[in-house]
Amino acid sequence: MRVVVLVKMTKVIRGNPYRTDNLEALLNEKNLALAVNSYDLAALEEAQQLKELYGDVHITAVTAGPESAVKALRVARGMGADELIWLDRPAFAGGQEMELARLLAQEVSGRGFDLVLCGLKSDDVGTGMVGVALAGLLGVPAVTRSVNIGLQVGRGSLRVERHVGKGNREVVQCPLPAVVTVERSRQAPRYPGVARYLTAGKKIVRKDGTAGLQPVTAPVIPLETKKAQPRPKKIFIPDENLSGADRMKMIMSGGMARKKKKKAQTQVSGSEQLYNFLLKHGFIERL
Amino acid sequence: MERVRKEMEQQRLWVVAESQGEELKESTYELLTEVARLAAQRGNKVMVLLDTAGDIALEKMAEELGVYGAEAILPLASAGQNSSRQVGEAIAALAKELHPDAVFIAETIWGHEVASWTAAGLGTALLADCVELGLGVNQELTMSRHVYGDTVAIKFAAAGEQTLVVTVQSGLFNVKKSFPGQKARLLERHPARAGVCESVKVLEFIKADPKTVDIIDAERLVVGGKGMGTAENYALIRETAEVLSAAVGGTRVARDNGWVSLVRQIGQTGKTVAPELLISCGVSGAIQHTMGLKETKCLVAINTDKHAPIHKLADLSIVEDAPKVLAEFIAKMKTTAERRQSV
Amino acid sequence: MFPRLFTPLKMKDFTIPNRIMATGHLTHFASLDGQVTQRLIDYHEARAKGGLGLVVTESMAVHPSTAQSQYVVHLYDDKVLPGLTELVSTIKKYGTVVVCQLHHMGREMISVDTMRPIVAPSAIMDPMKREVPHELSTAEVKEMVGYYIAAAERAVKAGYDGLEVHCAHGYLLQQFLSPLSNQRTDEYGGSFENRLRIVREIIAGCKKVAPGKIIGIRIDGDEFADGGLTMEDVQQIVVALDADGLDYIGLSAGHALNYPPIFPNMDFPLGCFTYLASNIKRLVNTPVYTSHRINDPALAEKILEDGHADLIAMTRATIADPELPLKAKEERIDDIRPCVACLQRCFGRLRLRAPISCLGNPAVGKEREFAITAAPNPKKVAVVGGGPGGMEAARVLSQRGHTVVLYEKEQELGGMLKLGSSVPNREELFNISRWQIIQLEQSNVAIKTGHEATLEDLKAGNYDAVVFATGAEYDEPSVVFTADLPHINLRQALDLEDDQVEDKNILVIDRDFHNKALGIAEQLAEREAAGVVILSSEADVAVDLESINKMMANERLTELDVKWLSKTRVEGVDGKDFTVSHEGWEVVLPDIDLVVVVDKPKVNTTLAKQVEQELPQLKTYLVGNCASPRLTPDAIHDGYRIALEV
Repeated sequence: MRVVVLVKMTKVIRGNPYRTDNLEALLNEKNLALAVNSYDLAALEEAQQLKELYGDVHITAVTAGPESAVKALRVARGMGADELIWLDRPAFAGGQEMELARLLAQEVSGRGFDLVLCGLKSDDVGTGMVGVALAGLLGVPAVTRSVNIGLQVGRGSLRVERHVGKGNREVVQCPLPAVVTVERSRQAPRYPGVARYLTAGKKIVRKDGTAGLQPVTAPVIPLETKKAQPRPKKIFIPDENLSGADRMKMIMSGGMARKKKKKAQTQVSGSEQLYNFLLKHGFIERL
Repeated sequence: MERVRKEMEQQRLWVVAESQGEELKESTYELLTEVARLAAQRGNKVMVLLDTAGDIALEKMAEELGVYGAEAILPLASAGQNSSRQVGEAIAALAKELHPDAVFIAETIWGHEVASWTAAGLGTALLADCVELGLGVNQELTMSRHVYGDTVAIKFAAAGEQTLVVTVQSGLFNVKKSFPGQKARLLERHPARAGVCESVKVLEFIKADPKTVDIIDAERLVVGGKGMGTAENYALIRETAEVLSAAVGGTRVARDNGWVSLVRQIGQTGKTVAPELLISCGVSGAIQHTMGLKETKCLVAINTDKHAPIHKLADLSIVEDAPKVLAEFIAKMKTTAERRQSV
Repeated sequence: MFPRLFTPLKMKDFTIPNRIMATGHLTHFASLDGQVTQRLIDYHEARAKGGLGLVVTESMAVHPSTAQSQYVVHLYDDKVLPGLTELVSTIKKYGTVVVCQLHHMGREMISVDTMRPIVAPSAIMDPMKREVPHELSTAEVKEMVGYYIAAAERAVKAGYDGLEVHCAHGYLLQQFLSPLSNQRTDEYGGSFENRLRIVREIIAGCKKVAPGKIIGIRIDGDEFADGGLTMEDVQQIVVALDADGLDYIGLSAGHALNYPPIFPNMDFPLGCFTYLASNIKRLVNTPVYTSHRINDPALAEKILEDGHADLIAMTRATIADPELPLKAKEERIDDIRPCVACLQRCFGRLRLRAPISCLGNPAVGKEREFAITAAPNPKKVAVVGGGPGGMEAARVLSQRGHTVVLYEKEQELGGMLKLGSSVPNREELFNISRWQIIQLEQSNVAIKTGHEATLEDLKAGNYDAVVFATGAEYDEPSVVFTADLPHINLRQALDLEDDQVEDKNILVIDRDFHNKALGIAEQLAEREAAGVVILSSEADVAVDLESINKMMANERLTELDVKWLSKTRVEGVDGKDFTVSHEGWEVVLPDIDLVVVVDKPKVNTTLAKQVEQELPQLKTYLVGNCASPRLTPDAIHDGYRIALEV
């Protein structure tokens, strides 16, 4: 099975970002580090898991960007990738996700694939759109937010556990070829093997990442960049249509109405009351 | 049909609603309130696009959403399962034809996916997880998003004619009925089907483990307070939670005593929870704590003090010693389970 | 632990070292002739030293027609400059940014204090002070603007980093902003623009005389009065003022028609008015501060994290513990002496025209004389009684290096405060004792709970001194109207069984004159008594309770259908029917089942008397109720004072 894993480097701010509100100080070269995108590490781990579980999996890691992007391929090699493709080009800016998706689609469809794995989103800018856009361009199904990927018997399709919110998961079946975005690997991403990491350079195939791409006009222009301050969260507000006195009352009670109920006149023990109540409201089942 | 198209072209700002059973998610109302505010300033109209796969009563919804600022409602008929791609691609197709200024979607798991498919379909960038919407000097839309782990804020302004695809963080904007008496027009259903994704089939649903789930997400909670008295007694809270597949929470006193960690503290300095069932044990119900319970659907209070304020809020009040009640309840549940096994 | 709370905030060229601030508040530490006193300087120095990021000092009078309770700094006169300069430079030594509040009470004044007519935008009687003000003429308004600006100039001369224009709490400038109090027809009244004009002129003037300095405002986020400014009105006002260029905006609540929010007591949920700041913050880029019932750094951090505000005003919390910022930074959360919003010694004393103090912190305003110093001759001291007074004595004694043994006859420490905090809506009061207990547990005080000290203990202990904090007890009711009905004391009332309360008609006789009669009445009503009536011989029930706690209690009692009658005398009882005279009327209260007589407790000095006779050589001290029955803050103050004397 041919698995392509898309990887990239992301910018990470070192130290505690709260220490100052001065953006220039925070984004000073000395404060920025490059690291492999954490979700991409999870994708690499899942690819390696597939190889270990089912054998006969050929893993190609692909990255796009300048020289600094190559480190992601070294890490991928260290984690088990068989083939390393570097699409050499200047770094993409935020808002160029469609261009990136087209470049990757060109590369991936050109070489043929059964499964494309990529991180859910990038740690730095994080629009989380490239995987979906790629599936759209390739015309294949996509499964997002996977936490566990397996192959179905017969291997024509995947069985993917995906996160659907509130900690709940959904198991889906997806025919191959497909694109899967990875939220978490089933176990923590392994450390790259040092020997493979160090010798990865020989494996890297450099390609021109600028050929045949039309630039996309961005729909927006950046106006202002500053240190992020938390935006006000939604907060309880007394109903503005009430009178002043009633607004005060709502504030005093925290907006929670007191429930009127009948005085309990019961000889039943507390645990019985609890049991009966839970039964009546369907929280537990009768024997 | 032509007339409908013409009318839809008037709707410069689109809001994609997300349903949950028979209702819309709170995040939809937050977003609609905020977009309607901008629309009023720009003299625009707002159209809400609504996936009809849920059990939504459309007529009623049209009446309700108007008050929040929707001018029209366009029902999108998807196939239900995996609807995000169907809806997203359908919106992209519609937007190509009608050129709205922007499509706004609340940033949820579903919302993000719909937005990604919409942006991909339009071949444009996605402005994800924005925290602030506004208008620039020429009434153009502006939006801010945080990058580098919430450290850097970038403010963007719309440039050119492309339709923007924007998702907006949930839980920021206050919901407000700013347009009393306004009723939204219900437009004709629009198909939203995309072939390729129907090959993805949902096989199974796995519920979150109550032991590890964030208490904000927990459907059932057992919460202990001062009245539990000791760490040993607090173990009864855990055991009860286990029996009921519930998560464990605590009050500030419980946290101060080290019975629960800060991540499990409910109340003003802790978290606000919204479970279906909450069993409150030995909690007096000071308002600082009960403010965190506002969204609880069904509240059981166990406290020896029959005058404790928590009893006034409870659906069931048990005036007894909480550790005793829990110990007996656990025993009862266990015998029931044993009998069930032997049957 | 609190990363956002300790992120500095830049404002103009000033760096506020953290996000904790104190709002402008009257202390009554200024002298009668309007001068800064050493007491005022010491008070603020302690708080600056404790790590406050920003402090707005006293509400200072900009004009002779304002002088809140007389003990207020006369910022309208150059005579204050030397004192003010010292105050400001002392605060600044600690890196705290210091802002001057420009204040005029308007019609919230009483002429008793100024011996002048009070002034306001319109001649509308103040609903609380009941005085009809002189309507400022157009020329007088312009003159008033001049006074504000002259005061601002003086503040700049004194070295202040900034100025705060006080537009809140129903004082002069809010009176101009609100259509309820401004019915002028000249350029300072009527339209939105006109009502804002005076504030805009003052702000513009301040900017001129204080270039480069911080200019902020404080404003009520909602008047909560029908016909008054709503939240939306205030949002409009703030956005308009902000467009003129402000450096910060403080949100508050409360004025004459809705007084309690100015000093929210413990009925108010923590952070209950944060939403007002949050809604302004959505509209402006200028830093916003929120105040009101934020007494805990964890809550402050959460408010910052949730983006509702940029600065957190913790005024009363830093009165209760000036070192709150420092302790929060060092993550010594349990060491922070809590503010429980009891109002007894801050607002309560202001109302009595006395300088402020604090229930939990007797050193407020006595930073010099109450500094805790090492004892020259460490002694062995027994403290008898583990109530708030005894615990405070033990705590301070041990800090001074004495060897302390604390005896408490009950299993738990807390004494009378356990009862006091057991009535509805007073639970928070016990946090004071909780803090004392934690402090004692960390100290080397030997705590003997469940041990009633005896003469033998004191003999055997080889003590150099004994501090008695044995409290007081409730005796037989001081009055019995009829032998046919049970009459009980407060203690017995707290111990009533349900069937003795439910569906009973209960008469509560207020002979304590503080909160206790209200507390027990509320508790009995919540316990579903059929009817509860409070009788007082005085002009009001709980006549000695300060007004805000009383207003809030009255509201709760009304909701519970409790009735009360002041200026009464019981004239006769016929079976279960009481005849009561009230201002010339005769009122019959029928079918009474039970009479609760709330007396002042009787001192418990049994052991102290024994010691006096048997161990005359042993030095003894009395603390709290056993010296004379008073309130919790008196006991704590006694304990602290005595501990310094030993």
